[in-house]
Amino acid sequence: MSENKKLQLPEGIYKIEKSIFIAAPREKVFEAITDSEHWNKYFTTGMELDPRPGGVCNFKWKNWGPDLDNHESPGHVLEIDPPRRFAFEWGRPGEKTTAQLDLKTKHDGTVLSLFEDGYLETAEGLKSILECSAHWGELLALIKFYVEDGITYRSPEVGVAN
Amino acid sequence: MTELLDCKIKQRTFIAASPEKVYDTITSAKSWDEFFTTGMELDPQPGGVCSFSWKDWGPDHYTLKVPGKVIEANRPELFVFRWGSEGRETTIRIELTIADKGTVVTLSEDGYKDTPKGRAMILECASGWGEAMTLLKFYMEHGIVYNSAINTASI
Repeated sequence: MSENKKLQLPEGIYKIEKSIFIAAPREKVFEAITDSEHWNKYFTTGMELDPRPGGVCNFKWKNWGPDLDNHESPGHVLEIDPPRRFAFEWGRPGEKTTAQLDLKTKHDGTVLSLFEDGYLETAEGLKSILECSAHWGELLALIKFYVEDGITYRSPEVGVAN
Repeated sequence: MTELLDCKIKQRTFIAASPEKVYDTITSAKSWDEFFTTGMELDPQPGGVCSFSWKDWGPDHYTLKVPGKVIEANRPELFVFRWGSEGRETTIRIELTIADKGTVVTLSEDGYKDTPKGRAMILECASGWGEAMTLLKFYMEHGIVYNSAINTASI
């Protein structure tokens, strides 16, 4: 894809849209979502990310979350426009989706907006997008608190009981 | 009659706190108002009110009241309520299971209609619950109160 081409995402029901406010400048949020070392602190385990068009964007989880997930989702960068947009394609062959993260300055902070499309309009596609939609809600909150408060994600085996 | 969608929202979240503490938090209107809602009404017993309200909430400035009522309240394992406008009610089931040094919260929601609007609603609610359960997690683990004034940036 050419660097100048804007993403044209089709209209449809099977898409995810979600925004969150983060009390930090766009540059700081952009850095947190385009650097694998940051991702590995709030969401992934062993993420690989080469933040330029065509670069790898491989998500990996090891013993992650309440179900101790071991999972990989390979992808590549579609567009990177600091500090306004980061877009990537990911998923297994035949199930690829496109995620676009837009950053807008609002007052003293940033509104981070996710748009994801490309899910199959089938019963399986609906199950898949439902699962991803809940995860995006979770992920945007994880990004928010990582950037605002420096909170890193703890999986259960390292959790501390109150 | 419209069929219901044969799928549900599912979100599992680990919280480093005991099931009793998590249960007491999700059955307290005052607590919900500290991490998610604005003016929640909740009487945590079967048949009791469970109405969610938001005022100018989040970057999308939600102002909304969703009436509901409690179906099951079984401390510290299960809290079930049914909410939504008339004819569009869905059922939310929150199960708490003890985990290594904490609790796994399993939230599920079903009852959405198999219509374009029902599909759009279930998708929106799925991301909303993913966010809400993470807000609950960090409220309990780090004492983070969701500050609506900051988070709506409407000042």
